[in-house]
Amino acid sequence: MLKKTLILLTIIALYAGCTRDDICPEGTPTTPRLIIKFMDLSNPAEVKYVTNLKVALTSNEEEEIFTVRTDTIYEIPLNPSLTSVQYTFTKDFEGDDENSDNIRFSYGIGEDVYINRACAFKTTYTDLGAIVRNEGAANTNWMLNVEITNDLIENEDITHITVFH
Amino acid sequence: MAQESDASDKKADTLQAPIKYGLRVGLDLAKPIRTLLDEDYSGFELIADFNISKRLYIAAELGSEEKDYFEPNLNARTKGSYLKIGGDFNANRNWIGLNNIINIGLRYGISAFDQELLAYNIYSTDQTFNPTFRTDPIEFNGLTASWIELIVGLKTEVLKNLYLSLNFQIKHMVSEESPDNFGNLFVPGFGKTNDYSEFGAGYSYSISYLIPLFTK
Repeated sequence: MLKKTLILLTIIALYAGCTRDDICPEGTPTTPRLIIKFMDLSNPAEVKYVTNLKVALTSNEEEEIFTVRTDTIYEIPLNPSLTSVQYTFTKDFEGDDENSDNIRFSYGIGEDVYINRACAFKTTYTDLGAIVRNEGAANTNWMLNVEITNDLIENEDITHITVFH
Repeated sequence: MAQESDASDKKADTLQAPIKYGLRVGLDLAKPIRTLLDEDYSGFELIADFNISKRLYIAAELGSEEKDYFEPNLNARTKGSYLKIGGDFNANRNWIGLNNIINIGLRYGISAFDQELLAYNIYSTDQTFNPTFRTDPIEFNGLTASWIELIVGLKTEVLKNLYLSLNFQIKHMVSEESPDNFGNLFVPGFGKTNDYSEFGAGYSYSISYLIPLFTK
């Protein structure tokens, strides 16, 4: 009886002591990225693929940063330490029709939400805005219309910005 | 013949040590030792038990603990006190001259504590930007928790009426008041909590003195 109790206790203690909770599990919804969708300007109901799109921070154009979710939906990180971030979107990168547009995302910092011990907190963003720098008389912008689909960034389940081109 | 039989009966009786009844009070030594060795911890615990029959004891522990949680993502501090009340069962039969106890106990524990969130990281799977830390401390006061606890241990009488005891504890959370938008990382008396399990574990190494009231 005592022996069995001791064995059972040891098993429970090992289980309790060894359950991993110090590594943030992959797939846990953490701080959401900005979800951008590309649509056709001449046919606004249709998505439109961007040939050889390159996305980089304007401050560091060497390093490409974005996650391609599908051909027409991209995930781009915002900086939770600031309230705006500037990106350069280049289409047909290193191709004949290479064209770079400069876009500035502005946002407010929403509530920080506790996830768990390992992942700590995630944040959310509010009042999302986006401005494409107008390239002037030459009007060589390729991002012709940018629409805020959702100005609240709480998760990565919905599109926040739609770009028509 | 009759006399011999009498004598052997008496002999059989005296093989079993008489049971001392009394109030045993003591101190957990493991917590002060850990306080000295672990800069993120301080705590102490008073213990007491009292036998109500040959094998059954009423037992209680009263303590206080403070624990810092300083991990790269999260810095927090928990501070509070606790009370555990329950019973012990002595599973050991003692031979004469020995007063050792193999102890199986059950407790109900309650804790009242405060937690302070000192700093935290905004977690992002993306490494583009430097990590963002928020460092405005937030205090959560008046938190409570309760749990049940199973104890297995040994008590040995090392000097007359002076006992050393070692035990291991398995705990299961019953109720827990978590702060808004944060969690209880540590509960005084319960120990470290786990995000994916209601179980906790603990141990104690105590010295105690039996104030004898009567022997039976």
